[in-house]
Amino acid sequence: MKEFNYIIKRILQMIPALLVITVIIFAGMRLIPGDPAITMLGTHYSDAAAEGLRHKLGLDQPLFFQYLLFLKQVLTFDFGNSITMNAPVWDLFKQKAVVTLTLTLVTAIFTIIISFIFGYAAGMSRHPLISKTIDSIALVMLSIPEFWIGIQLMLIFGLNLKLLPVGGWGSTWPEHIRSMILPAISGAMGTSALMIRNIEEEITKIKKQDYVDFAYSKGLKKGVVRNRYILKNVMVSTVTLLSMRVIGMFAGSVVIETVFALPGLGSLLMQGIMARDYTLVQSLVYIFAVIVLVMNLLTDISYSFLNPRIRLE
Amino acid sequence: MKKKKISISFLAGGVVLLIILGMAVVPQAFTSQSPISQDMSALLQAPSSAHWFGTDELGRDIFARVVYGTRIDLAIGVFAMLVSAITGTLLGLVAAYYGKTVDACLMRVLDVMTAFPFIILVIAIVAIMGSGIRNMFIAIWLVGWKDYAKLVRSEVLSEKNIEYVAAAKTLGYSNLRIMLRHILPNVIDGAFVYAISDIMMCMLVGASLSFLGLGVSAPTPEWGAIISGGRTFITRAWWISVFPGIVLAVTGVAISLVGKGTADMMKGR
Amino acid sequence: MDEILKVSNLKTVFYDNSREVHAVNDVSFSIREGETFGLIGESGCGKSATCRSIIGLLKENGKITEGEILYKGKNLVKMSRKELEKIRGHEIGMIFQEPMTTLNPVVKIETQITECLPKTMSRADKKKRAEELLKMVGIADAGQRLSAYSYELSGGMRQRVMIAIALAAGPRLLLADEPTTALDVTIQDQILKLLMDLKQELKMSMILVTHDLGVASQTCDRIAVMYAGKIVEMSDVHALFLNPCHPYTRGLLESIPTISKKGSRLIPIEGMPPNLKKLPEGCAFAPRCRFCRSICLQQEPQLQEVETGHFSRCHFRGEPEGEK
Repeated sequence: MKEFNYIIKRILQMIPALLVITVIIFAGMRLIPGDPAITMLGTHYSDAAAEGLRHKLGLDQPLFFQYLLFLKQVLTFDFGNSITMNAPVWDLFKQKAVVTLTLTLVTAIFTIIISFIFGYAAGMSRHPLISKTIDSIALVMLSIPEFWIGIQLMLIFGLNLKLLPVGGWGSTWPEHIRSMILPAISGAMGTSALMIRNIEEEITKIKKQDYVDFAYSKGLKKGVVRNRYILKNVMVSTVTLLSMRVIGMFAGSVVIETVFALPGLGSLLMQGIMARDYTLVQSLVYIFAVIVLVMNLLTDISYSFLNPRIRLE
Repeated sequence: MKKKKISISFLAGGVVLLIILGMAVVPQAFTSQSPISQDMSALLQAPSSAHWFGTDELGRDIFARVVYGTRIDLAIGVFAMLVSAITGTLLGLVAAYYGKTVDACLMRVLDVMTAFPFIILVIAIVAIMGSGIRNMFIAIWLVGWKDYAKLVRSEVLSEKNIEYVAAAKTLGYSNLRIMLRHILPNVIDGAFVYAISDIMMCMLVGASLSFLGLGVSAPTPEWGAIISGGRTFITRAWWISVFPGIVLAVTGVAISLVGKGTADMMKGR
Repeated sequence: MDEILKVSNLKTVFYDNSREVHAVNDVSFSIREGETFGLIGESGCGKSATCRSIIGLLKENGKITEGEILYKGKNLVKMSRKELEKIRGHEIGMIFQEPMTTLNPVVKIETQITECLPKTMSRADKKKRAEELLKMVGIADAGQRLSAYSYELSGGMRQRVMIAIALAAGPRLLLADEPTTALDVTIQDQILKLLMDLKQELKMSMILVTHDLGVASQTCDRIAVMYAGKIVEMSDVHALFLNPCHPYTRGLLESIPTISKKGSRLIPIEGMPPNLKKLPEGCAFAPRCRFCRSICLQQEPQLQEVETGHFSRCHFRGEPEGEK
């Protein structure tokens, strides 16, 4: 019951934030110099066509009314049609979201595997050489731009060795997954580097805790102490960072999707920007914001399950 | 406290960073080639003694382009960081010092901003204002200050009630003076350490934006843009995209090492 | 009575930036079955390090360099990790000072108890046993507390839970490292009484580490006073309190307030414990000693038997004549 109240409260708190976001997006779009209708139509347009488009977009209405129109679209999740793609924004979103979600998921899995193996090794090792080596690798990984490593991986594994697809999304699920491997590795690099450092730090801290010594003094096997005492506590303290980064991956997939020509949300957004498709861009930015808020909420809820010390209030 | 030895990694990072700074300030000293002059007789040439990093599809020397690009990339990193750091630090300081409504306002703004992921927000801003280096700066600035504000705010909140602040108040000092002369020096360390690594983050964001075609425009040499340009010729001329990426990574590592060394020294104080 | 534990010439060293810190320096003592042995001294004198050496849980930079620890005739120092795992918990249990940080914050109390029970037990039996253990340490609603997390319990409660966990596998020797220091005074007494009752009931032996002479006088059969990594005085509890021989022990006794001494002044021990990285020549306590003579600064005293079973590490047996 307490949990339920908390969730309701958090959802109610999201409403003002979302309202502010709609205002910002709306204002931002109106700040763009020039007439959107004319920009969209390009250089060759007739006055009648411009007038028609303006009417279609509601640009001939008073500003406040335009905002209400946008608000209505936003609340009903009916964002209207993308002008350049000639399809409902919501349909486009649904269609592309699969790609981005898959990419995010595979990237997150890679990140977890890489960061826990290396972070754990660095934190648990008694040899300074091991932890120093891993630290250095993490440092380099953090400084490499993901689009660059993406291009290099594509060159090596896609073009030269022909092991994996160079880009695109394929048409069957096995193809989809195969096409995700290189993008996911590129995208996982930076976050893994951050997480390796974080996990290493946490382990060195937790290793010294009394409860670890107490666990050993109970005669528990090394493996039990490591799993139930050290690893479990590390997971609790890194889950927030991980989920924040995963949210970032989902929304920040623009670069990777561009490198690997993946037809996901990031590519859609870039197309919208390049084509000056304002309906598309403002709707997408809004949808991204809603998703991020919801994912933040889910993070907090799941964190409270993992960490009993945090009570939902 | 004993004097700490300067670590080797700090020294190495410092030396590399000095070289890179040199490249930014006097690129002519590092290469005699021009970064923009085209040579139709030497298109897409592999690295050689004449062209260390090879040439691109217009016969431009990649090494020269990378050297001349240093200034822009470094400037993006440093200046984008500086404006964000100053804005964020001041806002965080003021909000935490005055508390109540001022602080609540800042917190709400931060709440809304966290709902937009960094890169989306930057891209959206650039999309609104149009691409180009100036707008890219503004975009990174508008988004980047929030981390400093958060950091400084929490530091100030823990400092505010400490006796020296109360003492300064009883002495009748103005709020401005207390904030800038008394609190700021005590809370700046955390922001400073973050700022050094932020240079690297800003550089990466700048390069990413240029890569997406939203930042620096075509003939100007910039690392991200060079990598982007090399993508088309990746099968025939790997060198175009490889070298700027390596230089970018080396710069990032050097900055991190210097930052880590500085942080260690500050801890030892 | 048989000896359950015999520590001889134990030396434990910590490495701090490649410098050696002699935390435990040539310590010998033995504990008989059913005995409560007190280790007392100021913080940093090596009492906790002695305890941790016995159970083989020194911090990463610590190492036993010399000596042996015989538990029922078997040398713990020479044991492999696997062998030690069988001794820990089952033969030698330990309870820690800080109840707040000694329980795993993300695992239920039940699991933390049942994981110490033999693998052959069924799940239901384990749960029943865990409940019994909690009842044994005086936790009223034991059944409910099993599913609690440590943060939901008060300090005293946690200490009780910790004791229950340490006793789960039925150790014969319990190392109690300042078990009451972090608790409120009223709860201290309860916990202490609980410990003594359990010790009686389960016929255990116990090492009680404390800096509180009052606690030691109420509970211990024999006491060793440690200073700078060494035992400076060791005797049964009556002789120690009636006839303290080492100036440090006397100093400790004079610095505790008691009701009987009400009105008389408390005399603190001047100065600070020595730096264990560079011990002074001669007697380690000499710089703080009221009776310090020139010999004390040159020659290190040996532990000598002043009366039967009463040892003191001082050049002057009993009363050195006159003050300095």
